[in-house]
Amino acid sequence: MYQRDLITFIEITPETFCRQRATGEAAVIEILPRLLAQAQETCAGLPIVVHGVELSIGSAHGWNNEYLRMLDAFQREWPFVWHSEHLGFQTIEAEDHSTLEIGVPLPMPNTNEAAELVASRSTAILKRYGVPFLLENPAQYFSCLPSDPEIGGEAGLIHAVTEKSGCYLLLDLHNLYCNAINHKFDAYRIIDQMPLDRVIEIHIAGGSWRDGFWTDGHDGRVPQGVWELLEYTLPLVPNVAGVVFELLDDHAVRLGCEAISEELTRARQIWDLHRTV
Amino acid sequence: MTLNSFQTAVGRLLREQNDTNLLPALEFSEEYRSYFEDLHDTAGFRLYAGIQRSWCIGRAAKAAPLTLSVLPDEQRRLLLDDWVNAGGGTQSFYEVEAESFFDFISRRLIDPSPELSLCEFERAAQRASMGVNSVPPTDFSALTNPACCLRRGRYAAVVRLHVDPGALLESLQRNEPLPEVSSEPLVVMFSPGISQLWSTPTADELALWQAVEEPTVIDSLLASGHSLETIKTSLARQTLEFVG
Repeated sequence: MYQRDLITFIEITPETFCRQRATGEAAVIEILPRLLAQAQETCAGLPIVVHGVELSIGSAHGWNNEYLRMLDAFQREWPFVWHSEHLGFQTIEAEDHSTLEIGVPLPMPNTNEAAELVASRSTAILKRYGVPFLLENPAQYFSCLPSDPEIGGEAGLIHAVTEKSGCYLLLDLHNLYCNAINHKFDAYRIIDQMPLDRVIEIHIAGGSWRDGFWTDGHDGRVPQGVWELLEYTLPLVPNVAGVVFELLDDHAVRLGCEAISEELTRARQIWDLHRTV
Repeated sequence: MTLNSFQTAVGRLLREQNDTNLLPALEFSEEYRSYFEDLHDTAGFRLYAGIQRSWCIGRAAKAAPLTLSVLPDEQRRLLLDDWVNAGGGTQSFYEVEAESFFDFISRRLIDPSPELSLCEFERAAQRASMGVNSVPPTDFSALTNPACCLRRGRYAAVVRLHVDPGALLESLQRNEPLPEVSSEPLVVMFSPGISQLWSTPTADELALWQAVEEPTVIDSLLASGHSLETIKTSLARQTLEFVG
């Protein structure tokens, strides 16, 4: 894949090079130098961007400060062009005020309070790292989320957060595709409602059916519907800097190098068609 | 409804999904109670509950793969179910939760049994492996200070096993039944500084390990008859470390 010039940058989830260690006060997230060095060797000098999963930027009781401390160290070791997180929450506050992991990431309600909270944190992150910070629209399976009329739906929440904070959007087309199938709406209409000038990165991925839902499993090839969304979206996002194909490691082995190369080739062709005009 | 109220309610409903009394116990106005009752009955909520549970079971299973692999399917399933029902398996980084998971498993295994020996072995070996590349090389010059204080290595452990670890590992590799337990336990020392992470300690090493149950100054250890050579060896093997 490297030799075929299919990869021009790599998206890293730094938590995969880390472990958590309980200390007296907190469970610190430590980068493991051996794993970091292996990753740097594998990436062979290509630029990287960071895609975190542990921040829980939307948790009302507080975000994951240990993740940020780890990211500070990571940036010193391996500077990244931009970084992103998921628009959602995965922790709650216990009765004793400690932090409880829910065990699964959950979507934000479409409310003013949610927008204010995430926007203020995004502003702080932009300042802290000095590179673009992107929020990813999630796949979500609740049919009824609380919402305020001024915010409306998911696109309204993303508009509010990006406008208030100056952060950017990681437009995950497979997540949008999941939501459109599961909640029976028109994905193209939602794309039109998004702040497209804020899109820096696009995700494509595959998924699978589970209990009547199309889920964001990152477990296979990109569905035709997502390719069509990519073709539709690329001409509309003037500031987009890259497309990333997401695939979990277990499934990468099963899918194989040829199939992955084919997905990257197709993404590259669509990119070249729409971005070189 | 505040953001915190929404998140706490949804988070608890997923974390404590087997508690049928939770929903009625949540304190909300009638409007919000109705919202959560409706949400709880949706297919989407059931999907999240299923994903949460399967991820939690998957994380726990990754924490103790050897021990779980030798248990009968039904026993393994029950252990994992009970652990997740008790709120386990939610941590993305499992290292912090692994200690309590091993505790939980070891309380449920027959003592003595080859399965319990394997559980204790896996726990100590995991802890020792966490220290590999984490502990800086020992600076022996500190030993010249008679007031320097020593303690047990943070990734080290001494475990009494009723099955020889070598025989345990061999039976696992060959996919054969685990060896029978012996009546006399074998004392095994684990540490990141030991080749293969474990070995049988010498009598001197074991005596020194017992002497530093609490941090102890080196002069006191030497006065008690522990040799400087054993102290140096233990520091090199990281079964012993400097305080501070």
